[in-house]
Amino acid sequence: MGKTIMYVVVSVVISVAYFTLVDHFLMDMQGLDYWYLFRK
Amino acid sequence: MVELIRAALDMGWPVMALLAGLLVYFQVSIKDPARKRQATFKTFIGMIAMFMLLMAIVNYKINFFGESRLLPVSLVMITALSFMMGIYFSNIGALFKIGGFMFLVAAGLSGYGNWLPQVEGGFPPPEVKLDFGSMTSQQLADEGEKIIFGGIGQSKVQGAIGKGQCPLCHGFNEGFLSERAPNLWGVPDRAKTRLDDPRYHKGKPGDRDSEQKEAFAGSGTAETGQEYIAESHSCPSCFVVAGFGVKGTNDKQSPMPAIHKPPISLSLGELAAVDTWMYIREGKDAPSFEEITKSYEKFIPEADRPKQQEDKPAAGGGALLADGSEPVDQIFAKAQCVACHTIPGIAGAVGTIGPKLVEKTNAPTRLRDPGYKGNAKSVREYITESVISPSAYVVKPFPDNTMPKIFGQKLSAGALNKIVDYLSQVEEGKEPPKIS
Amino acid sequence: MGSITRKKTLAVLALSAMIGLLLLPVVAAIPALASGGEAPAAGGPPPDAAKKDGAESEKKVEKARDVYYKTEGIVSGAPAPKTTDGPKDYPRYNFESRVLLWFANQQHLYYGSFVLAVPIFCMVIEFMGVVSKDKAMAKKYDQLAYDFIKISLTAYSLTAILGGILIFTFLTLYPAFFGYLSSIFRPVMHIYALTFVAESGTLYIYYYGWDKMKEGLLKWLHLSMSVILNVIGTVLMFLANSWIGFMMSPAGVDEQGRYLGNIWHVIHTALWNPLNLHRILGNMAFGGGVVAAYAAYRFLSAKNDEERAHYDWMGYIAMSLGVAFLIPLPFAGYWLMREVYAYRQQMGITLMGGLLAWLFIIQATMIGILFLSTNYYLWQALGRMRGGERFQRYIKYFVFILVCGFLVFITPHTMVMTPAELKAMGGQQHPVLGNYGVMSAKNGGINVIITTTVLSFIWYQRGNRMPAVSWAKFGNIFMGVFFFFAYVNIIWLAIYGYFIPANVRVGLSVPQVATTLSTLFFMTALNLSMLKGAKQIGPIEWGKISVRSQYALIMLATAFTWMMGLMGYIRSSVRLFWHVNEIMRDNSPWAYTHTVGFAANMISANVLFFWISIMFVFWLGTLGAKKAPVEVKSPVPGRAPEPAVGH
Repeated sequence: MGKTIMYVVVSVVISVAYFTLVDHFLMDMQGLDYWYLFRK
Repeated sequence: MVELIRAALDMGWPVMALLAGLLVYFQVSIKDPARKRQATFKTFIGMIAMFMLLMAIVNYKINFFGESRLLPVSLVMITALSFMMGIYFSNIGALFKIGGFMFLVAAGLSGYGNWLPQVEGGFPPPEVKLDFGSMTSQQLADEGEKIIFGGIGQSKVQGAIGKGQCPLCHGFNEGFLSERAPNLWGVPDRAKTRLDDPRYHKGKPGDRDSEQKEAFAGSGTAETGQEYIAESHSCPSCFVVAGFGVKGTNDKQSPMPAIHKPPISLSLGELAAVDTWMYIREGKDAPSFEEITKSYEKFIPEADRPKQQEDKPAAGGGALLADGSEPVDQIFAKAQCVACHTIPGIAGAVGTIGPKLVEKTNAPTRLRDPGYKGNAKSVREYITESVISPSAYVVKPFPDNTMPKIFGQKLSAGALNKIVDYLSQVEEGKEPPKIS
Repeated sequence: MGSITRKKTLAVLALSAMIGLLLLPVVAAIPALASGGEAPAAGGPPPDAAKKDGAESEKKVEKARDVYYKTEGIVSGAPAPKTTDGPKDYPRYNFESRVLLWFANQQHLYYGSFVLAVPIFCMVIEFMGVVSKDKAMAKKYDQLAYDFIKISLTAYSLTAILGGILIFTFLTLYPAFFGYLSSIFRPVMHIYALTFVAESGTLYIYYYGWDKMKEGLLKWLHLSMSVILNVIGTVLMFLANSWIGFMMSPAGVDEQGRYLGNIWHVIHTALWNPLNLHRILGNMAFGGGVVAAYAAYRFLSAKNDEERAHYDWMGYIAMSLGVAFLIPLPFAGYWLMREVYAYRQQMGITLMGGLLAWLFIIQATMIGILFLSTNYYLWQALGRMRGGERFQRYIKYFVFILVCGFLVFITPHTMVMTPAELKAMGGQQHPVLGNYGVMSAKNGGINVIITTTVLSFIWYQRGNRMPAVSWAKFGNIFMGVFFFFAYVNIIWLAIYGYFIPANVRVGLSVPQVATTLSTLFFMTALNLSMLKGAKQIGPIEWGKISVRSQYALIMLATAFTWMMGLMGYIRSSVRLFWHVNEIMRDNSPWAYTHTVGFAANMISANVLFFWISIMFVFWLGTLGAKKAPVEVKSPVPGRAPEPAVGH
């Protein structure tokens, strides 16, 4: 059970980090700011 | 329906006759009653299918160019007959079922296409390589009317406007209200008298107090009535008729753009056509084409003369002022908004005939105004409404019926959208939005 | 032994000699081309070089400026003719000439794409057979590739005949226009013809050499021949594309349409490369669809289980190949549209927001239909595997997700409207629907659909297998979480788009697409590695698939065909009333744009004609191997110049 939770946590961390990086850098590449709304 | 059946039989009677013959032949030739019954049945099915196919083809033929949008019905009929054949003729059943299914898919897609609103791209405007030089005065005048009003005979129609866009500001008929610019009725005669206006300083452009003293350095002032008209077109600020200058400049500057420059960019030939119309319509003798072009050449240096443009109008909307493909500042210029309104961030938009357009600030207060009787609920809606029906709400102290009510017809939806996009972001005291 | 080796060597030599001979005219023609007009590398020659060139020749030669490349060149052609409506420039039958030409063009294009796509499949499948370690499987692949090329051979001769009909239709109905185009392309016309001959020759050697060259080195040689065949075919298509590229975005001519002596500029127009890519991918997807339909037909008419199993498998392979090329197609389309906008914004607006916008609504619907059918097929295909049942109960949720994505995707944003309608709606957008139809939501919709398709595919791959790798549990959890966050990210970006200004919003589609592609590549790869040495629950029982699934294949094939007709129509009609955009005007009585409904009917007629005729080709194919294939004629068959009549 503990193993499952660890797997889930690791997966979530990797996935969220990955997609955030995708969002950030692919917007950055186009010279746009992904965090526009939050910086406002 | 009856007609359809008749047409189908008309076309396909030999096939039907053949099938009927086959039916008779089976009756005679097959002895085994079970097989006979089967053969009869199958031929019968075949006849029905054939008949449906004929009807489908006839329907297709009749409606091919029609408006009725009934073509997919043919496809549905073929689908039905294919499946019917597929059931009873099991040896080639797969082929029929697949075919039937394909017809069904195609019928669905076709039907969908016919169900959508139907837009037909109109014919392109005929390609006219106008050779103004070789026209008779009357032909030239007709072309002029087209340039001013968009079509021959349109000068009598309220709100008609052509590529010259003159009626946006000028009145053309005797006695018509013309607040933004002088009414041009009688201009051929009046032009000569203007030369004697003390503010005109005929022959001494240096003495003028106007913002621009000469059309270009060394051009001098007009000497004849025609030259006066030419000068007014090419250098509107050289002399401003009293009361028609940009507000606050004391008639030193004109709100009118130079007609040979963008956005209007009439060629010398076109300007000659316009002028000719002005003479002809009052029953006066117009100067010759050469004389008119010469008068313009005096005020427009060689490099500034626009080439005779090949007509490359936008799709289906020959008479649009702007089609939405332009950047927003050009739309403002093309629609001549800039002549009357001040729009922050738009070069040249310093007009004072209408209110300053800072709509992110203004629109909400206008909507709250108890005097507001329009239908708009949001800033965007307010702007749209103001453009399309200016009289829905008139900002004080500006008079009603000054702004033309033609923009609903003369701007494409895309252009209007861009205008609304831009104006809804303009805020008093803030940086103007980016032009897109 | 020695004699066999010698025989082989001889065969190799003979083959090389033949291919050499076939390609010789093409190679020989290229220097002639270079002297006729410099053909510098892409990007055009440096302007000063061109100027110097001009200065060297006599002073009296007239020079003019390229409409697109803006380089100066020596005028070496007549201006585009100014046509007038009448029998001289537009001779006609008692029918709309444009429709006849449309028909002839579309049919030629269908067959052409099919014939170009199938050899690519053959190449891939033959290669799979060669590298396959499993002897039985290798033989199966080889047989499949052979079956494919057999179908395409008959279609090939039909393509040639249709090409001839097309040329005759052009010559009879649009002589002035065709004359102008061929005068511009004269320097490469013979190359086109010779490439065609080379293509035919290679195809025949490839087909007839199949049995003779099935072992060892010769097999590899045979395989490399398929590569040559495809290279030639691709060159052929690129040349054909240069014509339409020139019609849409002319270059290499001056404002009056006079040829400026640089044929590379004429070929390498603004839209040429995007069109090339788009067409290759489109052809592949289309070819896959046609072969899948063929397999479905054979499956449905199969008399025994063995046949059914074979054609079930064939349909599956063809469908997979087709869909594999369907997925990158929208991105190629995006590139094409971007280039269109860059070339003439007006053209892009006519396409996406103007006159032709409704056709794009149909296209959006069709993309949705294609993906739904693909998913449906995959779900049905689970049925032929033991172990596939365990996924069945999730399918209804998939359907729900797909339908939601689809509905969002097809909601229109802005439409062409009359001013009165505009006023009634209070703006260009619908007060309610307008909010949902914006691009960021639409992108969300289509990406959700594609991601779900990927998920379906992964489940399909797992149908009868259980991962047995030691990290299977982590793999499963990771996959689940990754998909979950992929959906979250796509939907979040779609919603986020509403809250930020338009200029930032447009950029959101890129991470959205990247998310979808991430699931496609990473998850498929992860799945494959997890399935290494997987526990088999049961075999794939080829032929056990439901009959309905085959209709899904036919649906796919028909929809591909229809969509191809639709997109071709859009691409062609965006020129509006120009034969050659901004160079040569269409002054025929048919220079207007038809209604959506008329176009839809016409496309249906074309699609159905194509399918009826290709069914006939299939049927010919089933007549058996004893029947010798039809002789291929040169591209201009000796037929009376009667235009093709399809109605």
